[in-house]
Amino acid sequence: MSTTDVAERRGAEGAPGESGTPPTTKTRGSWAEKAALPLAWVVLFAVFAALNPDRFLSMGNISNILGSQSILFMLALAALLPSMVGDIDLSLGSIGGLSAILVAVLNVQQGVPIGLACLLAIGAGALCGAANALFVVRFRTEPFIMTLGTGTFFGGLIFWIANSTTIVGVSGTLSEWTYVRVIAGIPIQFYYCLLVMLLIWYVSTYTPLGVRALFVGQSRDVAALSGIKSDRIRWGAFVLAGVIAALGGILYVGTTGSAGPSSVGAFLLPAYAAIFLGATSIQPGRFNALGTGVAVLFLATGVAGLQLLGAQDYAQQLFYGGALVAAVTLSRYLRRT
Amino acid sequence: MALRATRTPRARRLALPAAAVAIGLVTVGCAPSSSEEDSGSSGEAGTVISADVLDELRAVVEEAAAVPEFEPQGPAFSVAPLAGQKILSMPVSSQLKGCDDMARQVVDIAKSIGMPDSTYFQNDGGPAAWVQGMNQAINGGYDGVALVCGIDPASLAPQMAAAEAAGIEVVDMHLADVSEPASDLIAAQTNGEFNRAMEVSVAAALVEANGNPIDALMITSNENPPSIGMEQTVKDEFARLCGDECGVETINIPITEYATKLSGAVSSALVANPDIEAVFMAFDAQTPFVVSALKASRTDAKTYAFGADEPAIEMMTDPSNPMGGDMGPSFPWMAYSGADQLFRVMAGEPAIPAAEAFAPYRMFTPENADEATPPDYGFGDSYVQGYRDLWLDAPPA
Repeated sequence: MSTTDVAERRGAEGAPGESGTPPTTKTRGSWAEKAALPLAWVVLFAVFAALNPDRFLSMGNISNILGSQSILFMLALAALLPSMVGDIDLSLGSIGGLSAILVAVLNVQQGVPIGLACLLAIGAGALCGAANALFVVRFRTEPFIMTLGTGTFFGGLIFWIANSTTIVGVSGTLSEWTYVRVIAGIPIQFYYCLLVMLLIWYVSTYTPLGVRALFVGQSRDVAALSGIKSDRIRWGAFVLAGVIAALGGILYVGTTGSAGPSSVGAFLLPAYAAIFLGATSIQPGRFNALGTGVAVLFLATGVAGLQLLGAQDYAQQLFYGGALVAAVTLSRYLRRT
Repeated sequence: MALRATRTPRARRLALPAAAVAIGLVTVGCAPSSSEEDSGSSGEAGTVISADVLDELRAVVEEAAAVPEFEPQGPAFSVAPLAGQKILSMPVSSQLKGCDDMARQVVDIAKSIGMPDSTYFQNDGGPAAWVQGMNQAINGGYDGVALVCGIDPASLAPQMAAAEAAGIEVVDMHLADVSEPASDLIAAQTNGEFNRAMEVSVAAALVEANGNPIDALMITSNENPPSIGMEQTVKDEFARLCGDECGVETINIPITEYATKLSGAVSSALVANPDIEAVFMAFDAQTPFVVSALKASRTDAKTYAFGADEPAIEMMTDPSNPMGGDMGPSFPWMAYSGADQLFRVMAGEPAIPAAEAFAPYRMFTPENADEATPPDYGFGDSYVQGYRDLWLDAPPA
């Protein structure tokens, strides 16, 4: 970590929302908290590997863990951006679904080349994000309620455009470039997610924009008084979230070769579970990209391990919900001294 | 959330990873293995099915893959008493296109035989919406109600009683397997050959394997009752045809979780048992998720499904999709068979017994999938004139 980085991070940690907190010194306790989730992931991996070494450590399973949750991964990264600046966007599942259905309709029914269809879908995602920003930021409305409304509206658009049916027959080129093609045995879409995650991590950690976004997320009023154009940052977060959600929709179409009216929306709550779980590690107490990535992989590992052991669906739900509740509770407990 | 860096006791530092592992172990411990009691292993190579039996299975598949021919399930009767009456037709959910189209078609058929005030009730699915539909039928003075695509009358028992008291004949269409006892809450029902579809699918999988033992994966959605019988049928058929040589594993994925969990669950099942060569699906809406998992896993396994829905059959025409078969009904045919049953009870005729009232299914395979095109989607149109010939004294079209 560079000196500049440390200085910036200290500046961030001394943000107005944390007034009264003494300057941070890295102790073993703080490192333990930061590393808790990655450590838990490693331990979980080791336990499942010990229980079923032949299957769990196979390349097929590793590929499944890393590649099968890419849609969730991408949508979690989309949900991360508004959350980092103190907002919430409940329309992201619908934006992803709208993007997916647009790709399918444009490519299958209108004969639009798949690349252009994807670009148009990304543009639609940006427009949806801008609409959210318009209502939430410009008109000063509550993001929870407003994005619930816009999400429902976008959901209606999906059913309208799809005529309530599943559209199949999307060009195999998209599947080739998302799900079928592998690098080191892992579907290429995992690397797309990794790239987006690292970009968000770099910008939020090492650039002035990231520090300003952190200030806006910690205390919007104080950030504004400090001369930070918080509205502009919030606009950017909503629009970029729309774009990334659209990418999630495109991954969905590539994975299944089809798009249905109720496809990507189902990933919204797991995506928020991942970012809340991720906020307990790496940079505890903050929504952060690396933590989100680790959380997605932690949950994917748990689910895949349970599936390999033959656990029924409800056991996976127990794990999912239990992990989230335990992580958030223990994280708060660890910092209570 | 503020960051406070403080030194914590070792026990606290280890609490989170320990808790995570504990959650994993507890959930493993409390969850019965889905495959423990069912799985066998195909481990040994070699044919377990005799050539004669294999020929029989091949014949079963070929017969099921042929275009069905209409056969009347009851005698002709006069629909003259229905003139001026009206029905309300309600799909299980308007979001299911096939069911929605079928419900609308039942209304069109009713209008065509002299019930011009018949209506369709749009809804988003679920008991609350169905109660609204039944209330509209009861308060609106309707004479008959068509419950389309298996709305469970048990979930509307008070409404069924109120409808009976109001003199409304209720017919549930495509409710259950033909082997199930008829519901006593409704005037009559039409059923489906859900279990038969799985019998033919198992035959197709064993024919594909050339009589060699295979392991299979069955994907169910147990909140929908027919899938339970379909799962049991797959197990019974494999046990009957190849004894312990074939293994059947099962995973249950709720319909609402297909998008989030199905591909991963199938991939894990294929990792756990690479010998799986056939994946049976209780509903072919699972197809895109299962096919993507099969492609990514690069196995030789193929899918065998119930449904015969247009999107799934369209996928089958793409040779890159590892699909072996998809057997199911024609919604327009089911609309006619359901309307026939409803007209019978409304006209005071005896209903066709539940075990005999069904529209035939057709097995689609990669060889005949391209026949599933409009206007009849591979089922012919013999049933249209067949049913209309049964409805005597209908007004001219």
